[in-house]
Amino acid sequence: MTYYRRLPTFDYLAPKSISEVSSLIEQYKGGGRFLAGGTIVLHQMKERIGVRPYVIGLKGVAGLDTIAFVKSAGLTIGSMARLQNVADSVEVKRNCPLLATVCGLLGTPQIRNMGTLGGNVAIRFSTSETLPALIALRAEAKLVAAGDERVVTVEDLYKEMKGGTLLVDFRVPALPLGTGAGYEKFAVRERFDYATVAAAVVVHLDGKTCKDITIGLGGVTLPSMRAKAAEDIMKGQTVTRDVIRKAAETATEGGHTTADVMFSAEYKKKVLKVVVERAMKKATGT
Amino acid sequence: MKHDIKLRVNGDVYALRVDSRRTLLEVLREQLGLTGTKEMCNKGDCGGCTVILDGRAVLSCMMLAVEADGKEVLTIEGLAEIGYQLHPLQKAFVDHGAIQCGYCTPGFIMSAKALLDKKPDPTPDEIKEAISSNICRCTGYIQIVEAIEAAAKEMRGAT
Repeated sequence: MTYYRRLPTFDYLAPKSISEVSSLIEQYKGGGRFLAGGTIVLHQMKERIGVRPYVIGLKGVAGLDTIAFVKSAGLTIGSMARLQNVADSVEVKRNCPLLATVCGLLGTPQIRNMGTLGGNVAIRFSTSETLPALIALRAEAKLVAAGDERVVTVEDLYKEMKGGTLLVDFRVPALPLGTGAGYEKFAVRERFDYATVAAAVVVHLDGKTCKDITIGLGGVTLPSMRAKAAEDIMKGQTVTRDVIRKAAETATEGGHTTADVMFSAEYKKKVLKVVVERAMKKATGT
Repeated sequence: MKHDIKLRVNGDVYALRVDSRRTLLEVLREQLGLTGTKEMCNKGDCGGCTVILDGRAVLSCMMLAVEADGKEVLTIEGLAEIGYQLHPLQKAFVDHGAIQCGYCTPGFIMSAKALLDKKPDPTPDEIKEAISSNICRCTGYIQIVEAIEAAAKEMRGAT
């Protein structure tokens, strides 16, 4: 792959509102590319991947970076909220510490100061670290396309999100009392690299009994980024280390892993099981 | 497409005409002649191009100049406040042998500055976290952490 030191030629467009974004999408059809934080998109464009004649910068769109909590609806985080702002937000730390932890562990300070929550999800990397957490939290995402507004679960986002769709915000429901959460990531360089594999677990406990559990997986691709078989084993069980191990063994049944320059697909599956086990132990305090 | 932008760099306001595709790094180095900010990997991996934008350490190679319109940029050239007197961070880097070939140094210093602006008394772990975006191929990391610790101490004493 050739890496060019200069960006290709394009025109930069700076819409100020969501309706302006919609009309630009309409006007330029497939000729535009969204630019959020830029840490991945500009990198790709220097590799001449996904080059379009127009770049639609989202930084100036009003209201896309707000973070708010309402008791009835839960947490709403705009897609352009920067990762560091999510990690530092008092609202997020208080109501959804899992997401603050995940965003705080992603990349480096510079990447977190630039990258956005929506960008990390919309780029469709299997290594997106915020995705497993959002799936485990049963978050929903608001999408706008061709003037239509829809809310879909983050789990189904990649099936639902077509080109020209603007990701507006994420809604994370308020967690009931007795909820535990855990996150574990495996990366070559802990403080810098993408997670090779990761797991986020949100569990609802009644004493030591697992009432409900969601396990989001990172480093795997569709059909599933959720360890459903493991969830089924855990539900209704008294949580012990043995049950957790048994459940973690099934963690890789749903999704695919792909080999990269560092690791084989098979190795990633083995590590993923360990990562899921550790995240479940953290979440349940076992 | 050309854009008219205004940038405040190290306290000076510049009215510039930039092409859509120009990065902040290219504009700083080529249009403003501020070559203290280094171009190294140019893909967001090495931290050599780190500048402070509205108080946040960012990678200027991964940011379009047009998106910095109206913002305040601090580069390594803006650190020495009084004449040629070095900033405590610059002085500590010299004193502790934290500079070898020196090419990565401006990036490290700007990352450290962003940290100390927020946390005047960081732990060694917090320092390591703050410079985790920066790569030194001469690998003198220990001296860099020591220099930042010493600068933090001096800056706390000075205020």
